Amino acid sequence: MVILNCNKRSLILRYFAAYALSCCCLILFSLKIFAEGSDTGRKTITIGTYGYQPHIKVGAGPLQGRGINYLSKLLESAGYEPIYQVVPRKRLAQYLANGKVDMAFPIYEKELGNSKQLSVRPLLFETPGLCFRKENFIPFLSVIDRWKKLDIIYAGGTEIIPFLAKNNTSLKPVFGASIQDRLIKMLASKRADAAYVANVLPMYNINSRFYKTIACSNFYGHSSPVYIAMSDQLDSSVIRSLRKSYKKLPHYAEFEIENSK
Amino acid sequence: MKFSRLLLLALLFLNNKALGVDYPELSIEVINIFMASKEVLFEKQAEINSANSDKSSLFGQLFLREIDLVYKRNHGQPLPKADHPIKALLYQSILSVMEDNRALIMDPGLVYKGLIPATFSFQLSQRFSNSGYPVKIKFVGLRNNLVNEANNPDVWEYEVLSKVAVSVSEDGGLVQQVTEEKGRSMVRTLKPIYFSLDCLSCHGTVSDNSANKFISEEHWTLINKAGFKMPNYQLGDLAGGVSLKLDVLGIQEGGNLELQ
Repeated sequence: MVILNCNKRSLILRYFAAYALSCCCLILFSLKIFAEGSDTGRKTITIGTYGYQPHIKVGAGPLQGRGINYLSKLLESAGYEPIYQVVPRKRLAQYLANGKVDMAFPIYEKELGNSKQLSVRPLLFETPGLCFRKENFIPFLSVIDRWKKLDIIYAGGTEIIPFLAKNNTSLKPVFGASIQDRLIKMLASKRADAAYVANVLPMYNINSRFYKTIACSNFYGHSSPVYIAMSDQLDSSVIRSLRKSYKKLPHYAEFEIENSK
Repeated sequence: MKFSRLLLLALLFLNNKALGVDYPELSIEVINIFMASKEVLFEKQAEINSANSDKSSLFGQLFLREIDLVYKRNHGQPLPKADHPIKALLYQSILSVMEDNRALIMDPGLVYKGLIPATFSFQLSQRFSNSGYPVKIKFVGLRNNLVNEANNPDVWEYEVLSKVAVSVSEDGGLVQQVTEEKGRSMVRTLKPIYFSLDCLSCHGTVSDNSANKFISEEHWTLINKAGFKMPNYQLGDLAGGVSLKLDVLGIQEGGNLELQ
């Protein structure tokens, strides 16, 4: 080896630099191998979902919301990595039935079909209701006389509960984009007395953008249970392990309370 | 041999533990917790309807602490521990109902929120009874005097309430019975409720109507805050009851409590 213009001191420094560089390369290479190993070692589970406020928030970045926090915790504690797939609302149950997704949330009772419930107990309940301008708030919807003659609007295509349909003949569907905003605008501008919503919580919660404008009452007794469902094509050992993990977690109701603090 | 003996002992121990649940006693505890939570809601009306007071005691563990105080006052002992899934479910349901009403309770734009003991009890019974567990609880009213049709009593409840209505018992006698339903044993419990002074502000006479407070008599209304006509009940009249139904086999099987 020929070293030109080089004294003993610089030679030692060069050896040292080469040694340090080699060490760094070795460490980085080891870390990469380790990381790859952990990626491949952890099985993934695909969860089909859609924007379901306030539980699932679909935006520009990764999915957010209490539902996502809960599902991630559930899967991670069972040793799986969740992969979320946003699916059109109407196709979610079909995706689950065909095994295109391993799990799905939210799933309603009538959509369960052959798929497996994660738990007997529903994760949450949806309650329909009427939203009013605050000054016209009706707290008790069991008093039919208070709302039977009101002009009530609703998003076209929404299923109306028979109790409301039977007792009010002024129900008007509203169609178009950003339907929730349209309903609330119509309500605020007094073009309607009330708005029927299939699920009150997304409209009327302390973080809702409509909170300052409206107040909603629930049709209690007309709630629908909402589940996390698993594909029947999922291996039975995976189903067992997910149910085991579910039992160890606090129920979603408690999980929500913990997260709302 | 040694292992099989140990296994047998363990099975016997577990079996005794399972059979050791006193379902009638459990039923009474559940009803008492239900009633105590309802009472707390009554006492917290000012806080619920205020625009800006501290409302932290209406949620979470602080709310359970309030129920504990009322339970101690009523029964001389602390709130039972959640040592059975049914009791744990009830506590979870109570907290969930309050959480469901957070937007309403915190809304500064509403003078009257309408979260009263009757609506709270109804929501709680729905939440508790629709949870996939083999247990149902509900507030039952008297037929022909129902404010909410969902509080209609079934045959057993109707018979019990009819007997209670004509009985001279002053202790508000709780009724328990084991009934058969589709070949399954049900432990049924009904605790009658009688109108107290607080209840009469909505269920009493026109002079009791809280909507008439600070209004001169000539302008009094027969319609109460809920929007119903005052039904003219008197202090001590039978209001209805809290009814609980436990499917004993369902609970013992365990399969109904959770999927395997």
